[in-house]
Amino acid sequence: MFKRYGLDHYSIHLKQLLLLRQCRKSNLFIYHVHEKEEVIYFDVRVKDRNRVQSILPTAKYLYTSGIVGMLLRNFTNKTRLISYASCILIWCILSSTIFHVEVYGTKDQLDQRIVKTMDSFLYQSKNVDKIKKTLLDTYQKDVSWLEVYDKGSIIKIRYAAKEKVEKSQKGSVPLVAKKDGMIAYFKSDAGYKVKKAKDIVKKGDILVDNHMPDSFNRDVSLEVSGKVYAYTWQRVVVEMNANRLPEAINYFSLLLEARNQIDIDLKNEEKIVKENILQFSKNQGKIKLEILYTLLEDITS
Amino acid sequence: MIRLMEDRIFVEDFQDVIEISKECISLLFKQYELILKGEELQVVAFSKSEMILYGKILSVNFEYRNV
Repeated sequence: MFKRYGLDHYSIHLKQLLLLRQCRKSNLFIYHVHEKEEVIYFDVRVKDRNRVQSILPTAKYLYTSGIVGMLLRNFTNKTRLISYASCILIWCILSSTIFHVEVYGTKDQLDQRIVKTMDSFLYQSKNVDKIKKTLLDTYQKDVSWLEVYDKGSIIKIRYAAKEKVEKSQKGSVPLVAKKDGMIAYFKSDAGYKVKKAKDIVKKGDILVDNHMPDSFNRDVSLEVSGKVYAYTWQRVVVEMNANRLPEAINYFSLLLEARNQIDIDLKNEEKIVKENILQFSKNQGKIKLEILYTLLEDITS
Repeated sequence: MIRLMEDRIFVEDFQDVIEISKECISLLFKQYELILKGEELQVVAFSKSEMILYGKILSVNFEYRNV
């Protein structure tokens, strides 16, 4: 076993027979005995080094082979010892310093804010608990879960942002018709529909109620939301002074003015469905155009 | 006692080394003297009563002594 890990190599000016007799007498194990140019070379276990010096004082130590030799050479050399110590020290310092931060989150903006906060921890010694506490204190309102761990010189942060649920805009007020009309369709996701499509409704009629009778005929309160679109009718009268322009031009200019008046009140998804000309007249220096518009509009707003 | 171990010769229980060279190794036992002759004989390991040799053995002689 000792032979496998390393041996001391010696040379001696002595007859091989005398060497063997001396070793036998002192019960010293020797290996690889060979003669070269009247010098005997032999190997001894490292642990017998002191014995060799007393038994064979003229033996000259050459070197130590194997792992033991390598270790002895390295750990008895001052400069090497200093370099090993420096290496270990630098490794310890570098591995306990933060050089990079990686954030794995659900919101890019929050990622950037966390990275900015972590700037103050860069190139400082690692303290995962302190970092976690700082981040939790800073982002208490934005983060529902946060984990901080290190991998070498990299600090990794994982978090789950708090999801802000939009407050429901549902109310408990029924949808009431604010105009006369014929219901086209409902765009309602909550409430009890009292009317149905194609029903004629008058101003003040309840369209979607906030109360509904249950199977025991008891009144149950409901939330109500949505819109009700209906066909409505609107009469528009536009006038202009008589002039020398052709009649067709006057007609179209009045028509466009009437359409503008209607368009002003129309919102998204509301539109003119039909345009009926009721009257186009010239009287006492005035030109008059009367139109009946059929509109599709939300009658609850 | 002498025995072969793969490419090595193992000798044990000897009492003294009488002669040693690349061509001849002579060992003293209690009742006889062992004389090994060969070429490029080399001592691989040596202790108080054991010896491992390497080399080409040409002859093995036992010379008994009168007790």
